[in-house]
Amino acid sequence: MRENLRVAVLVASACLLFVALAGLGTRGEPYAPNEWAFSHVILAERAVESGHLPINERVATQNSLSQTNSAFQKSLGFPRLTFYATTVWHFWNGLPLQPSLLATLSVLTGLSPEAASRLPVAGVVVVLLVGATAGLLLARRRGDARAGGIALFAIACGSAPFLLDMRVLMPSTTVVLLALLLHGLLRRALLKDRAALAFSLTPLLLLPFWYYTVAYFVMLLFLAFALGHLLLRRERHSLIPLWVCLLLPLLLAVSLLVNGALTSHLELARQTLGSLWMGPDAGSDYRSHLNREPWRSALLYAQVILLFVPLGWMGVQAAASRMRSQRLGPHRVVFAAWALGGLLFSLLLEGAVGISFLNRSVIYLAPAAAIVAAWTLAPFWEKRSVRVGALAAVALLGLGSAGLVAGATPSYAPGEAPAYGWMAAHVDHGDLVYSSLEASSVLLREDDFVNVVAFPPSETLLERFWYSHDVASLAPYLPSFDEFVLRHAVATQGFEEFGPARLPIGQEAYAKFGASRDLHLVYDDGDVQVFRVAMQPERLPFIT
Amino acid sequence: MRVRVLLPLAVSLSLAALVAAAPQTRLQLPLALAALLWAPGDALLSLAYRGRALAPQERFALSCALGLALAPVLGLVVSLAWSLTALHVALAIAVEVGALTAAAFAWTPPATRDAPGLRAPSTPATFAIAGVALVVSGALFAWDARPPEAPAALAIADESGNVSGLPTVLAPGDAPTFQVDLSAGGAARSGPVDAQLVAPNGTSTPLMHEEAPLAAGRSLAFPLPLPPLSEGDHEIVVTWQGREVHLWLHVRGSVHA
Repeated sequence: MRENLRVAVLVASACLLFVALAGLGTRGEPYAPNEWAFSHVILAERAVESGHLPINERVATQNSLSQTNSAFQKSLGFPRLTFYATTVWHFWNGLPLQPSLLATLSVLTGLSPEAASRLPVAGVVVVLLVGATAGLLLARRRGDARAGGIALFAIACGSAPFLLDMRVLMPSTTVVLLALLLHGLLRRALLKDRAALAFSLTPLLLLPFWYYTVAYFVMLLFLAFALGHLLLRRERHSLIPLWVCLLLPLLLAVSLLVNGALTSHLELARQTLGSLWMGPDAGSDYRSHLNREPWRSALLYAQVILLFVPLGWMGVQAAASRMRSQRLGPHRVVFAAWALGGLLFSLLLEGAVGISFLNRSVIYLAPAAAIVAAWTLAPFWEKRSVRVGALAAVALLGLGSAGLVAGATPSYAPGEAPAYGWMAAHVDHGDLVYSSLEASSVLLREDDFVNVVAFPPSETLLERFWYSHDVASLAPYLPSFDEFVLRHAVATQGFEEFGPARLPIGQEAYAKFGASRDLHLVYDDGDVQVFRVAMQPERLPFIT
Repeated sequence: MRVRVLLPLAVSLSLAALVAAAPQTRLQLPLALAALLWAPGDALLSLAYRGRALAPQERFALSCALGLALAPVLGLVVSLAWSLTALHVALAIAVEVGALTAAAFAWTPPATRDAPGLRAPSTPATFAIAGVALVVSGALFAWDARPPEAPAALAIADESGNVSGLPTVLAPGDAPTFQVDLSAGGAARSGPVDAQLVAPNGTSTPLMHEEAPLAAGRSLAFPLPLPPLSEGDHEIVVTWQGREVHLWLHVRGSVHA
């Protein structure tokens, strides 16, 4: 009883620490934890208002933008198909489960969908599952099972990409399915528990209607298990039957094909890369997409290495055992397949969209890495130096996460809420407003501006409109909108325009907006400037 | 055994009833989360494991995870009452619920050894770790909850206070009037507000120089009339408290576009 109480205290404190870190910079601010969540918020708000949960009835038969956009605009009340509208369409068209979850949470808790989307419930569940999995594994491991506490705190604060991801409802809920799968496989491997496989596999069938990226990860993970069957066939490790290993990816692929996602993603890859997997931008990044500040990169890579060393070491040991034709323990088979699936997924990401997207792999592998770290430490846990070193490593990981999370969070400066409130009172809500992703989404969600546009991530636009010091370079873009909202933070932080941890545009580039004779500067509070486009009449014939 | 199966379902329904009966209370959030996440998952585990041993922490974590996996499906079940044509969703639900039920009833696991589950360090060590986590979490919450102080703001609009009606092109001789807004924000402000008109040849004409003391939270609006304008690009510049707004008035004899 006393042992259970101590475990409960330990788990509760790990969950509290996770909530504090994952929510950093998001409390009381209208910026969503991640603005990709906002489209679900809009759909869920409409669902709550109308009493219907959002389902796109045509999803199985009609998926292309040209086929469905008019019905989409009509049902959601978007008069123009702006960048935001197309973002919302993307999820409206293929992912009914996320808005459904958000609307259900909202209706039951009484919170607005915006507030419900900020509940880090899924992250807490993953922390709980990691603790349970570590306990399951370490109870059967030589050494001290109390090392499992390290897994709890390593996952609660040890990976900034994981923390950032788990505060966004859409991806984090599906990471729970991955943690459930890992636990179920280990129950099956260690306890011969057949029910665990069904419990952990079945929810995965929902992924094509929930979150595409995790669906692709699971497909590659099960292909890795199938590969394991070939490599370990003499050892009769039927951890997952071969037909399941092959059938599940097939089912997911068919589902993705039917709901249009696979076709759409292949088309996108063809358009952006020139070839299916490899192209001019593939294997690296968009040139302007990896402008990460050096300290942030160094901290992030150091953190990832520290957390993933035990998992990597286990992978090396498993490969060495195979080379010597030694049998692998069932838990090693699980972790080896997990690491191999993660590796395949990483190669796919790197080849298709670039190195900065590898944080997805870090997120999906982090629970396994934390558990393996505890498993590796268990035999040495009696040594005081090991305990102190492990706790110090977790503390360092937590410090790194705090810095990375705080620095990668769109902070809401004091002048920003008044600025958007002023716009709501003085600017026609039908005007086309151009701004960065967060500012535009607040104007759309909170202040009822219907035609807000965020930048498309093209290099030309970034270079000419944002980074350029030349006032003249603005002119071709200005006739496209009525108002332009500029946050001062872009000069010094540069977070929002260019994704997490990107370079700021600098003071000179910032100043060019104020120097343009084609822009009225109508509002200034030190944090936000609002411009009204007023083109010199001589320019217009040339531009149009 | 029936009690173990039925109890979580009864608890789930009771929690949902409590949420419905007492909305808008502090208890609504934990009750709703328990009703949505924990109780249905625990009921499923009871069905599947029928009294077989699960460590307490493992049971709780698995319940929450299964509940979360089922939550959007439960939402869609509700939505199907209105939208029976969503065939793909119905299929997904059938697969999900059918397979989980099959797992629960058909695959009764063999006797599993008791899973001891996670173990904690000694009592002093546990409370030391929890104490450090509590202090760090509290510090992070407190740091994050600092109230921001709204800064001073300066704005300019047309005579009716509307930005969208600001002129882009004017004819020679036009003499528009604009409106300047000052907002003190979170602190009292004092200092002059300056406005000037810069002509196309670069000469500057003062339009206003007045002290504008403002108490915290107060705002002030006043008109800014202009003299008749000649042809060329004129600029109105208004400054206050280190803020600046400006308008470019393109005055043309013949108006393009």
